[in-house]
Amino acid sequence: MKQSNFDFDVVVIGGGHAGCEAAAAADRMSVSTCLITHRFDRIGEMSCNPAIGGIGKGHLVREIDALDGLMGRVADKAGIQFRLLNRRKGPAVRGPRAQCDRDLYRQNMQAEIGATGVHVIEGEVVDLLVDNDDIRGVMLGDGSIVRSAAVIVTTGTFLRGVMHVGKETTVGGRMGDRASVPLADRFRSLGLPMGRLKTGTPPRLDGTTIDWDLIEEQDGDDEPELFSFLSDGLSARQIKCGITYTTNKTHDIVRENIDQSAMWSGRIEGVGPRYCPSIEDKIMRFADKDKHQIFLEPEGLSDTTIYPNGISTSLPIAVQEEYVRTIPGLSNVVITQHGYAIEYDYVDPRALSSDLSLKCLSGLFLAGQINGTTGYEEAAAQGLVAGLNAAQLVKGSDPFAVSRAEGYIGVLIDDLVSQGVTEPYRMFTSRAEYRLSLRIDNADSRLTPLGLKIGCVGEARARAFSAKMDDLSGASAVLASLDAAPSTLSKFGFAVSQDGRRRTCYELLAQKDVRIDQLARVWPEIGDLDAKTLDQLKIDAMYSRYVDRQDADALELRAAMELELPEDMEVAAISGLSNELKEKIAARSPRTLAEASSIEGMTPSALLLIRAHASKRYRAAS
Amino acid sequence: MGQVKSVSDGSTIFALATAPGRAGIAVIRVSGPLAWSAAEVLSGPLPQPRVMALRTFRSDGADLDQGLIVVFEGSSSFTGEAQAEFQIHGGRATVGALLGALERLDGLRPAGPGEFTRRALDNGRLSPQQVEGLIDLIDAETEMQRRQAMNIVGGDAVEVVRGWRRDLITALGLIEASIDFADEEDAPVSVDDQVSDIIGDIRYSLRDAISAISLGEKIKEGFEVVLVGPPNVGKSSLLNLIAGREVAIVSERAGTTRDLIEVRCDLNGLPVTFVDMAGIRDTDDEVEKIGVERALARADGADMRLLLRSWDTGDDAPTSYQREIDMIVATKSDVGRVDGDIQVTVKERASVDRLLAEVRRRLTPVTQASVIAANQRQAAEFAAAADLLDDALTEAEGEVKAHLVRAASIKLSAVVDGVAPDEVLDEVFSRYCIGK
Repeated sequence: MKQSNFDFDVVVIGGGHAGCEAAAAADRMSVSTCLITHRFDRIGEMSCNPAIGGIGKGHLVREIDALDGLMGRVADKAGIQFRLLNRRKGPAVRGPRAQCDRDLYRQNMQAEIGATGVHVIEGEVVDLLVDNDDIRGVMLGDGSIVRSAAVIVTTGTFLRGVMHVGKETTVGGRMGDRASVPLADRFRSLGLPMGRLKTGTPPRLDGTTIDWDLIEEQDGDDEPELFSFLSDGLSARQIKCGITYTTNKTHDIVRENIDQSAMWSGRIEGVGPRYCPSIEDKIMRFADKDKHQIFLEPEGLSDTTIYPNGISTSLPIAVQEEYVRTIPGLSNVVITQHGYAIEYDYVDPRALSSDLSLKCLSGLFLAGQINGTTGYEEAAAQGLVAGLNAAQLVKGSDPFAVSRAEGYIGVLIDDLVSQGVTEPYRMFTSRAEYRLSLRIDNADSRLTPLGLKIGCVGEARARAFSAKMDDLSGASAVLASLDAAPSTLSKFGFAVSQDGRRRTCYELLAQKDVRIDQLARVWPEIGDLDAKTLDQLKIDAMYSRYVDRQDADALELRAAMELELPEDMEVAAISGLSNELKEKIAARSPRTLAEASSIEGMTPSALLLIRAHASKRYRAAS
Repeated sequence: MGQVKSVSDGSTIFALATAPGRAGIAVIRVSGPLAWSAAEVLSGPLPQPRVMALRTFRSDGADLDQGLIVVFEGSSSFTGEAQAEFQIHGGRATVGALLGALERLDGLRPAGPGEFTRRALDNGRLSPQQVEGLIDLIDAETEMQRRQAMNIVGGDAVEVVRGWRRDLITALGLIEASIDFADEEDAPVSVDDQVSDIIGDIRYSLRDAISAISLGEKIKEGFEVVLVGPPNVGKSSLLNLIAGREVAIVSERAGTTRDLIEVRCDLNGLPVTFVDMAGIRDTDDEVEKIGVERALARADGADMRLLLRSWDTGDDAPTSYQREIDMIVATKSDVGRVDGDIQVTVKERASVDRLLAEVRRRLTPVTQASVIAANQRQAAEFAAAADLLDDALTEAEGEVKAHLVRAASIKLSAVVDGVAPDEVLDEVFSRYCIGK
């Protein structure tokens, strides 16, 4: 450890979702950690909509939790409405989501940070200390210096942030917060590849001025699915959300004023997310739809503010006032803060290694929105990875990595550093090729062992995890040991062919339409097993046919990827590769197929050609 | 691009692009940065790119030949470089003179074997599938083979496979929208019928393409037409006439032909192998018995059977069944007649020509089916994709269905090219108003 020369091992700049996870992760790894943020009381702020999780995002939260991160625990404490999305679909694509109380979230996050050994400094970082190609620390606004071996930048949208409302523009990173200008200047001087993105926010509403009688109600689930493997119940009072719709009148107003929209008029150069279109986009691009859904989400139990999810906008204030009142239930509504669009620079994440440190500046890590992602969960996952890796770097240990086959965290990081982004990157389950095995029910069995190995998992979780694994293996041994003749099974109403072959309980469980209570009638001893454990075994059994095949494919792929390429591979002689790719291969001289696959712009078919070429060379040689 | 160095050294190459030897027309191809200026030196002012013009080609003040010149820009040429083609008269002397004139120009050199194709590959003008097709094109023995290979090189087949993949991506987009955006306003509620329609169609197309692969191989290897008939009906004599040379031992004594004798012909571009069978009859001769058994087996697997009969061997059907494509050939028509689809006698060459024309006419429709897969490897990918789609059709859970459809699309990608990671999401976003 180089601690003697430094004030801290790791400095984290920013107290948002990425910053909190980064600082807490580094702290769990027992390196001295400092978090620098403008104001302690803004730590854990939910600056966009007051919800955590969703399809794909909920998977990320579970995985953060499996590595003993904070987000799942905090969201469980702050959750005021829980819904498991895709409940009626297969278990692999179910995503937990929670409406959160903004204050409770912040308070609980601040308490979590307070309970760690993280040292928090309130201040503005104005410069990075760089010595040759190594980071040495940061300089604060008052001129003081904080030395550290690693720095993690999680500053969100602060790079050249510009906010738009109609034709008015303001420089800043978030409404009410100023942008970090000096650090941004310093950042630009590093000469990193940059891009520009945009995103929008809706006007916030005063809930006491909404006519709730005209609004559809949406309840949470009767049996809430919590995020954390360690949570055992709800903390906060639960509420209902509302659903309303735009009207033809709304659409007319938006259409009449479309050229005043900052986003629509082309005044914003950044690229916006297609999955989070502004109301302008929705109305102009999907003209045949006569209404669009709006979710009215309370921002908290003691806060009357309502977040109308679905009508983000950059129209002028007067137009916002007018169109909002054409929506049923909102005819007398008071807007507490108008919607705006924000555009900002991001660093092309292809400049990062998969540990999230800059390739060109050792020890400087980037996490969160600065890497072109959107969403609290995506930010937190990166913060976690950056925090763990900063600690690994300080300790001189190998980087921590999750593969695409092990988790959504792996998919996220790999997508970012190998493909870059073309719009604000959000997680979807369809991005995961191993989706059937990357489920919320097994996030712990996939990732907690990795966390235990590097030492980021605390004692309480380690105990709970090992108890759960024991339950699972115990129960699965029981299920495999119970069997019955087909004649017996048909008496209990199971449709099995009368071939005399005894079926095990586990075998029957794998059948989609077989329920555990049916099995318990044949074998009453199952009743003693934990219901959750059985559920998970059922899910495993259901997917095993596909997962096994996928595992075999993955194994084959891994074996193929380990194929060593001949040192004197004549890249030029590989027909079918583009010149561009040939030059990149020649420059990198990959030793294995895996290394070749990490070359930017590599395609599956190009890999096939390289593989065929290498094998041919070996055959010729032998 | 300025980075062509790796293989192509920036030189301008030329070569005779048509087969050497006497021919009506010969094409000389020039490719590289100096292609156009070389063409201008020999032919004078150049026509618009991709437009042919008649020119007199001159070198050192002497007229070499009169012919057509056409030039291509790199964006539309075979090699991806500036290119010129001279179409001249096919005589050896003319071709030699023009090649000599090109060689005397500074910066030009004769092309090495396969160098044009290699440049096309280097410049990303061909997909792996096209490359495989191209190899066949170079090996193409007959016009029909050439046309089939052209179908693949020309990109028709590539487009068909890309089309299937696009359709699979559409299906995936539908499934994924219903999964990933289930809580958002415009997400489709039930997509099963639409998805089943799409993947059901592609599965049929894939199965068709797999059966066509055997046809593709056929065009490469040739059709087999067997001559079947009782001993002494005249099979060997007919075969000898088709071949134009003595290939079978012909004698007046029945049962002379004891082995399978083949003659490979080019029927106006259609490769056909005629096989003379041992005469089919009951026999005690052990050697002949084996011959008869072999004949029957081979006749069953043939693409077409010529069932021969004659006045002196009787008009019994020579085999127990006749397929639609099979033909009854009445031989020795100069001596005596029996019923048949066609009357033939070795004494009259024209009657044999009529027979060959009819054989070609009957086989041709078989070759009209379009051949998508260039070889067995590609057909194997298609078969694997079709199996996955079969499973997908019976699967109820969306995420498993998507898993199978995605796997199928990866199989197709192995034939055409990589899948862009965002392809499915692109599909979703273009179709639905997704998002809150």
